[in-house]
Amino acid sequence: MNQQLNPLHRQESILEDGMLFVRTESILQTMAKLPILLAGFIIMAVAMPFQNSYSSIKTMDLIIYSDGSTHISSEIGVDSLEVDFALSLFGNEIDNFVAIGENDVLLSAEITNDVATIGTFSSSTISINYDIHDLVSKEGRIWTFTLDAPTDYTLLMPENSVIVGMSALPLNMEIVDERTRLLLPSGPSEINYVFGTSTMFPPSPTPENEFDSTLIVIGGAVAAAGAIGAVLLKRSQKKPERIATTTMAETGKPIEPETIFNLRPNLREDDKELINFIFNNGGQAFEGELRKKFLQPRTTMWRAVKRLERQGIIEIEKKDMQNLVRIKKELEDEQ
Amino acid sequence: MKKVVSVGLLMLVASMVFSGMPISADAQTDLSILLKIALQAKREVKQQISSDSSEEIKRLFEEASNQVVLLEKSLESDDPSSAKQHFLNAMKMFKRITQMISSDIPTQELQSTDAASSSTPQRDYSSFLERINKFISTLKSIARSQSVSFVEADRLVAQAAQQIRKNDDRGLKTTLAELKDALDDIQKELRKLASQTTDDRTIKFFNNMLDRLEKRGANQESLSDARAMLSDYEKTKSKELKVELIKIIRELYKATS
Repeated sequence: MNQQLNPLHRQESILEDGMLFVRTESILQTMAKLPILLAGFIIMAVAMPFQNSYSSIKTMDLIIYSDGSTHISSEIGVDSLEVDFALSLFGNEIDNFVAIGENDVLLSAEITNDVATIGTFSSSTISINYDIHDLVSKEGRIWTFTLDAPTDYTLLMPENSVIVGMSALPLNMEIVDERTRLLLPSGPSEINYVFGTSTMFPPSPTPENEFDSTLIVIGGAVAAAGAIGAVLLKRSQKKPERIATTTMAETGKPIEPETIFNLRPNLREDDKELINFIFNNGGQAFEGELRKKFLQPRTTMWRAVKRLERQGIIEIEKKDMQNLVRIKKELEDEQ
Repeated sequence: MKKVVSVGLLMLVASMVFSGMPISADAQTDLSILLKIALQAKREVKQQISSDSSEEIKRLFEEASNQVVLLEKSLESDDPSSAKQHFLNAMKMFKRITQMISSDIPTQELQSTDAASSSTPQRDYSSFLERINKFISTLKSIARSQSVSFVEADRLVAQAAQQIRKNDDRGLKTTLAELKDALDDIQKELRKLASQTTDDRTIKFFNNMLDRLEKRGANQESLSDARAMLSDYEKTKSKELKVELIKIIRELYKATS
């Protein structure tokens, strides 16, 4: 039981092969600090990936197309001394993958399942572009976008889509080219959207401003001649039926929405909201204002406005190169 | 005293770890957009509800609408946490209603609704073409300084767009297959051109690194060894030499940092 410790330096003299031993008087003290050193090594080991891998996502932008495929473009900072960089993709179904290094050089890339190995040597920033088919699913009418993002990102929704469900709080939202663009935080998020019932039809390839001006002049002349002819014909048959009250016409105020709704019982709900907004806005509003207020694409709003014009509820006037929409002072027969 | 030093060292290591980690900034949501999204969803869902819809759907819509009202009130009273909660509640309900309505619609009707919206083959082709256009513009941005022709690809894209407009499905399929081949050829050409310049870029990069290390006061002996190795690499383009050079540069960087 009476164990004796033989310090190493005492045993040294016994050895005869001339091996060199480093003499340490404080081995026990060192051993006592072992847990602290061990903790240090563990922390260092944890630190290694952060110290050695300089990769970091700088930007990430997503675009959802109307068929549910998604385009991802991202800028990533990488270690220029690494020969390859392994990038985790957000799924397996990848198309059109392009990795670009500094000076717009196409980098070699090999995709295996959901990992792309990119030859990044000598580039400290790379740009990645690809299309992916794994992020959006569809059930019935509902399309669902799901992503667990490593960083904040922008998401451009498809044209004519309306968000009907959202599990994360967006950081920002704006309308870009008639589409909703969200800024979303990192982490998991799910967005459910449908293609709006009011925006059910594919956008018209020739909205008002894209008409050939010659056609407009000719069309306008023909329409005007037709309208004059029709009016004359009608007058010869009977007096025009004035629906709005004389007092409204006399006071010069726009017709009250309730009166419009009573006289046009088949109005769509979204058109009623438009009328309410225009009325509360002093009876007139620019089409652009309506688009911003109702977050509708240009073509959709244009159709809505044209629909109300056809029903004789509003009139459209060009002002400062914009369409000024005004509620009429008296309702006219539907065209 | 030694304990103090040990703890100090430990803190130093820990600070090294955490300084390497990305700092996450907690960005603030612009709360007014929550109301915009909720109102838009409400408008959309309202249009889907008809007099034939079930009582459950109508009740849920009432609840969701109530949540939107509460969201608006929370915003007015500057209560962000309630506003966020009401937004999430409302959106959850709108999603549920849309799911219920969607499951109520007979499959045939749903298909016709979809046909009017987005998932007709025609619309799918349009999306495909949109993606291809983006892909081509990316390739063009890479190829801008090189003599790679996009004439054929551009012609095929125009042809495909025309075929989509004319509902010429058979012709479209052929065009898209040709387009895919044309784009594959362009990519191959670009890769070939890139690989021709890769060695030049690598040597230039190594030279820059060694110059930078010299300015940082790296060990002269190691530097001249590295330069000799680089000279060999220029002749042989050996992968082993490249790896060895990277190793030396890393060590020199570590020593001078």
